Amino acid sequence: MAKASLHQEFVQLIARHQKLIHSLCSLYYPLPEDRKDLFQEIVLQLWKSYPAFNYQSKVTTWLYRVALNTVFARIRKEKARPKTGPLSEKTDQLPALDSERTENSATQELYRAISQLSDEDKAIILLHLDEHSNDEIAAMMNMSRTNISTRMSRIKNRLSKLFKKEML
Amino acid sequence: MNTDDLKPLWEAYKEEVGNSMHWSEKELLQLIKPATVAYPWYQSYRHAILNVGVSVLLLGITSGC
Repeated sequence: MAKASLHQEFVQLIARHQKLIHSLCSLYYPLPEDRKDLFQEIVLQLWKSYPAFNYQSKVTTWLYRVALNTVFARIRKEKARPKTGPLSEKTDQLPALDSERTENSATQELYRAISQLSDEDKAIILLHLDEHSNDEIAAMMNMSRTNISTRMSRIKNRLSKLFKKEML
Repeated sequence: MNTDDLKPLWEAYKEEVGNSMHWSEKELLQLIKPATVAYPWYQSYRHAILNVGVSVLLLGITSGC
């Protein structure tokens, strides 16, 4: 009975915050099937760590921490694996969102600009745009606050250049 | 660059992606609930049956039957 309610409680929590996980998945993987795989992996990792989550930190902080750890672990694993062929190179050039969907050009520009950042910088700007403070970002990324501030100003410069390029 | 200008865009992007990739509560529940595997009734007694079988065999050998 208690187990069933824990399942229910967790599912409701994820359902409420799933947009956050989906947007994270879409920033790291352009293909819908890869995004789906990653989403499943993140939800399972969240489920594993859910009993230890005591609501002392913000739900989004916990979600991002687990999700980013899962993403980076997956990327590390993929980098360690030998490349299979030209298919993986092609995926970098695929459009951000599914073509059948109505696309908002401004959000597309933002997506394209962010997706050109490094994996760590993507996470930093994503957390920043989601209203996390530099201290929180530093804790989630296991970096110092100074490092985050330096990176943030570099990211802002890079984004501003990328946005100008997109406008041309 | 002022990133505050990007925040509404990011929210719109999240909304767009979230709506297109939405999972229902039922789907999420199926993902975290492990599939139940049906074991045959004798599976739980397997160890005990094996012990009895070996004991009978050893008894038979040592008693000369």
